[in-house]
Amino acid sequence: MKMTGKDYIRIDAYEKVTGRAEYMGDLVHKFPDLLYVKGLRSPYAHARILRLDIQKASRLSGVRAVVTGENAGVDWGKFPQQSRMAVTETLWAGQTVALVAAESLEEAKRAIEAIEVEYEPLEHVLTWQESFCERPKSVVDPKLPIHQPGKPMHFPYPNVAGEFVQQKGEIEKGFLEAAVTVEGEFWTEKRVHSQLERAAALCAYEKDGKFTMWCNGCGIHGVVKKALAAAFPQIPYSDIRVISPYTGGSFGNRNIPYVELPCFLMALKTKGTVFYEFTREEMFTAAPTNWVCATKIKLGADAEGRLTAKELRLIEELGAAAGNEAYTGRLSGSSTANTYSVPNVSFLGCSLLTNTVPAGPYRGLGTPDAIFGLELLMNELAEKLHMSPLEIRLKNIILRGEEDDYGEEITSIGVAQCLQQAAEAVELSVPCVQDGSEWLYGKGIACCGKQNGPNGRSEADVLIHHDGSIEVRVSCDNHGMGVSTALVQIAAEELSVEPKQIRLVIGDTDRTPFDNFSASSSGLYRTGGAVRIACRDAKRQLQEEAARMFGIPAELAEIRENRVYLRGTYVKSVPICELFRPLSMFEQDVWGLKQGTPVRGHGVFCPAQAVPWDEKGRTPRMWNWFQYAASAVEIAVNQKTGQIKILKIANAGDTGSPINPKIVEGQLEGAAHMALGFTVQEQLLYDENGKVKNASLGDYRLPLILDMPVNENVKVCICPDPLPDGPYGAKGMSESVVSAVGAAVAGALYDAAGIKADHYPMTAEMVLRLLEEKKAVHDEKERRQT
Amino acid sequence: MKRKEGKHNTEKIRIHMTVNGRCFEIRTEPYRTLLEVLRKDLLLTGVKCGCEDTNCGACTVLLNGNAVKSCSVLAGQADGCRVTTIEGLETERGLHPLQKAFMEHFAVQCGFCTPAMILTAKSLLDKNPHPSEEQIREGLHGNLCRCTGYVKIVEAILAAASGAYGELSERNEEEEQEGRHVF
Repeated sequence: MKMTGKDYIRIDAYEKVTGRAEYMGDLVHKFPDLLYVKGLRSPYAHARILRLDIQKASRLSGVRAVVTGENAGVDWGKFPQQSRMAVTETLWAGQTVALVAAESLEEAKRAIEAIEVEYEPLEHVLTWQESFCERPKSVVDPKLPIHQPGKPMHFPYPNVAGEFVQQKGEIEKGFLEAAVTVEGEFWTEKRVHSQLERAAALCAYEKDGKFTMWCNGCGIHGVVKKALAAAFPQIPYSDIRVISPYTGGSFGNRNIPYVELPCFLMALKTKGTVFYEFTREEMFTAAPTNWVCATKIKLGADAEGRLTAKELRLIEELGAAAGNEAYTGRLSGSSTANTYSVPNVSFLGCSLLTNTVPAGPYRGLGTPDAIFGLELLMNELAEKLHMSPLEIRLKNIILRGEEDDYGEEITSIGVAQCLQQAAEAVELSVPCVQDGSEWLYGKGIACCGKQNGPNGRSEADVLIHHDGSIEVRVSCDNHGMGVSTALVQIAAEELSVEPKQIRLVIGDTDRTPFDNFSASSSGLYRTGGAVRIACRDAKRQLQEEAARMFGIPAELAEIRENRVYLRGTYVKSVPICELFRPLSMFEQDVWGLKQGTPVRGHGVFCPAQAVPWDEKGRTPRMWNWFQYAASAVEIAVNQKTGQIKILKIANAGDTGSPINPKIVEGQLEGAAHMALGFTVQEQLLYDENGKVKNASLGDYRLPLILDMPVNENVKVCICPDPLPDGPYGAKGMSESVVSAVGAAVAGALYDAAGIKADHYPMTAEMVLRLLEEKKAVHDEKERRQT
Repeated sequence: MKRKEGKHNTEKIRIHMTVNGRCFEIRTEPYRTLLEVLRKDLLLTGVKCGCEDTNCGACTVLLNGNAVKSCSVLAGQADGCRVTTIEGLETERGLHPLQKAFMEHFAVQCGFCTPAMILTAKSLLDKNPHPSEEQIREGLHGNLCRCTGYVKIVEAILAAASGAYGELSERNEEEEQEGRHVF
């Protein structure tokens, strides 16, 4: 029986098309005595709090608690940066200054309005350009350990928080061997995930003094519960239960429990049941954004187009991520290290602070931002060497079994196939025909790889009941990607039963086993691995029981299609349900399987740990495996308005062997749409106080259905290179597929109009500016000639 | 909803609505939206709220057969109207063809936009049973989806319009008539 590699209908589809699926906001009516939490937020990107008076607010009707950074009685260092309250100084516009819990949302809002605050606005820095210098107007975190004397820095700038250096081969030698070199500086801008469901948490202070929290945050065990236990050490670990209902998207945004911790704090303060839901505006001002990458890159290649040297400087701009030493530019930089084989590499990365909301993971973990320039320079190399963008990429792709820049073996890489299929889908080799109108036409292609990282452990329980039904219990994240369906298919394949026989129980720390989180597209790989092991454990127990009943060795019993097939005995096969003996008042012996007591299989899957890097920043074990993608586009650029219209897009992903190809297609299509949005039109804008000024879905231009080409011009290609240790060869895939779109569009822009984008979003204003600059250069040349 | 004091007029109004075929008499403050009444009073939580300012479309319901964003309709405006939410689409005869098509074409991912997407599509097909792809895209332009890229949503609506998941016409006439005499 083959249950993987099939388009099995999503297990959650029925509940979702009928409106039965319950999300966070749908739970509220179940708690009649609910209290509502609301935050007062700083209107200044950087300000000193001179006076904060909560007296009037505390006395208002319905108000049950008013908490400030000072009276909260917690160690803010243990809170996610986005939910740390300002104590004496606010570090970004949107930082919480006070929290209110009241009997109704209106009363909470009224109390917020009644809090009196006096600020002294201070200088702020909002962008990497303002912050990356010796004397920035604002030093975001003067306590950074990196500022301690005796620590030599490559960038001795006060807002640089961490650095990472990597050397491979000899960079000078690499450039000496190069026949051509290209270089450039590139950057990206701030964007928000804009998942449709806003961040929310509901925390109930139970009768027995325990806490139950429902939330749409990621990693109920490994992120939310762990963070709650760390921030509130007085609460025993087992007294916290975290439950995840259906969640309306995350894209990395909910990997940080920024709403869960304040919600728990207010439940603790009020000893009540509290609900904290961000408004859409708060999703722009107080929830994490992506982090911006700025890169300075130089590439060298020999006359055949083989890369000889790659020098990369990278800044990861993290917002006001004070005290964060884990980021060093290494995470974003990792995506520049896994696609092309380069003998001589020099990488220097750093993280940088600004007075904007602390950044967090955004689908791709910096890959779309970091590889933008690298991919555009590959096009420039190709042009100098009279090669095609496709040819130069294929020539330099790492082959399976070879190493990335870290020195780690790459066990699965299907990027060459992705490139070829994406190129074919838009007929890349056929130049666009210009029709003499105001529209110019062009095509572009780019590719990328995104690391997975071996962090995290996943467990699964599989219960086989006496009536033949099967229950799979897991705690992975379930934001809508389709992993739950794929897990059921994996269990069905392992146990050779129909998927409909399997019930998935997901997301309750009291009932479902440990799972760190599903970040870095790891849900299917890690939790899927655990489900396979748990199924095999349950099967082994059934085999042993059957063998015992019929007096044969366990290996002569085989489990499939709800039966045990036996060899070496007079019975050929028995239904599994008959292995369970009925229980009666008079028959209760201790051995054998009993009705009412399921067979329980348990599985743990945990990839081998990363190995610390050496003084050159290299290690044989760091990222585990890589997902690859290539995107190709055909665009039209309007010379008068600067508008970019996407005529065709092909998105190809090396997803490993797909468990459910239709679900994989959905990821490729959705990724194309999301990436077109953030590379062409989305961008956060700030007012003079450093506050986001387009903080609504009306002012922040998300892509709509009309921004996507018609269906026949959206091509998706699944190009699997099976992952040896992935379940049935599958691997995660949802991040690489957003990452190459930006560079493909910029490549097409050059093909169409001869203009070079050095950053995105490539808005109409930017295109018009580039067209004007090009015209000015052209006019100047003509003037000189005449 | 608790509103103990404040700037708003707190005197309640009485509204009659037929929601998903059932008659309701609702007493509510005049400033409350149809979205609030449907979700909080009638517990029809299939109506979602993504932004509260009409930009995401997740709160779309049918008012006398027309797709409206319920966050921008006051409850009083729905007095005497027929409201359909996603909960009203599945009957004892089974799922609506659009619901079946959305399931079978994988047009659902996180599912938060799905109820509104299906209702908007229903109002579109009820008025124009055989739309072109462009007409479908035009009809859905007020409904945001962050997951699917809309490809499979459009596919599902085209499939439902083709009749592959059952007759749509029977339901049409009834709703179109009602729609006509109110709007």
